[in-house]
Amino acid sequence: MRITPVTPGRRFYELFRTQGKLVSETLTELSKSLLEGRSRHARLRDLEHECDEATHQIHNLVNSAFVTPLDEEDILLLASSLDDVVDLAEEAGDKIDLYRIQNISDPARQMGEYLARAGIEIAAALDRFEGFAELKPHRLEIHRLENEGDRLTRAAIGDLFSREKDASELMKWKDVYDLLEATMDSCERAANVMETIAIKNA
Amino acid sequence: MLLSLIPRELRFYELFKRQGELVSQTLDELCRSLVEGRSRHSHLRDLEHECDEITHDLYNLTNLTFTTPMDRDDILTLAHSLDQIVDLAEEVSDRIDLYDVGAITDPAKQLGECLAQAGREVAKAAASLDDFRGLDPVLQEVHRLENEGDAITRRALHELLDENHRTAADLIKWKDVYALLESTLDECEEVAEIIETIAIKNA
Repeated sequence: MRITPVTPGRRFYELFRTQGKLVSETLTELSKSLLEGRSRHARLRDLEHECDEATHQIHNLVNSAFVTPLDEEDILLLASSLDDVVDLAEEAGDKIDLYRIQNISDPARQMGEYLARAGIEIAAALDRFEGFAELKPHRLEIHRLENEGDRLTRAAIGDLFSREKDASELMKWKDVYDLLEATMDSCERAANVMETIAIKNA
Repeated sequence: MLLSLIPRELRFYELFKRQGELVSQTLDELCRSLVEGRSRHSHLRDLEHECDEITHDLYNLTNLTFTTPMDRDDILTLAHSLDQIVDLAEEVSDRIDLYDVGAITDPAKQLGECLAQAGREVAKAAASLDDFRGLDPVLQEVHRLENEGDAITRRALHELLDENHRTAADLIKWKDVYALLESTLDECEEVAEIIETIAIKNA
């Protein structure tokens, strides 16, 4: 067996790859729980912890590495923006449980699918992040999904207020739609951070 | 055509000045729509698109320029934050339309006035990046307006929860609108802080 020495530079990209996979897995789990209408919150919480761990490792590596392949600030910003996606998705899963929401609405399911797709794009972008050459199509797709998601939640919230008269149902669903939207926004933010890093290091 | 003859450094200042003007125009529009109680959302959306373009121009220019007049990070952060003000203002107006909130409350009108004033100050600050002249009172005024806005929002929430005739839907809608108005004003303060940091670093 040949041992390839892993330089600290490589290690950063490996950890980002791990984070990207966790983002994708988390969003897929969330999407499945919305489609099936049953909780996968325990699994989401585990994934959130795993992502925390990866974020923590990146922080440690920044502190211990003498030379980093990217600006220290950028590394930390990217790590925390990816962590935000997972945190928000976990929170959405948690609220669906907490509110005992039984029948998941069509727009929420659709939003779940968009999120799962955005997660796949993030993972793909981070899989080949080194060199930044193949970033653009992923970034554009994430922006597109965010626009679609915006339109979807906007219509869903409008519909909610015109149809639902029960105060607690209103509160719950408004909160869930807001969280799903915030999760999608955090995907876009992560994509923007990647773009900024690419610009600076081009 | 002419633009290409302008040194790159000056183009950065031009674009920031333009972005500042768009912020001011947008907040002015939002204020008017609140005071007059009618939607100007289509116009706000146009302004938002215009600001997106300027933001992208700034990103591209940073990408193409070897020596930028300020830190690359600072340019990108400032451009993003100015853009964010316009995005939030557009969102306020979008939500007011979507929610069909009816009569605009007095505190919302007052917040609109604060935002319009803050917008004018932000425009002044964004136009002063080449020499930072006269910046101090401008930034102080933004902080003052943000404090005033905080006090208005607090009172507004208090009133909202006190009124017995409000339905649950009304409560949720107005709470959301106030939160968005407050975020817009917070972002103006964020811009003031970023510009202050840039001024200190480049003094």
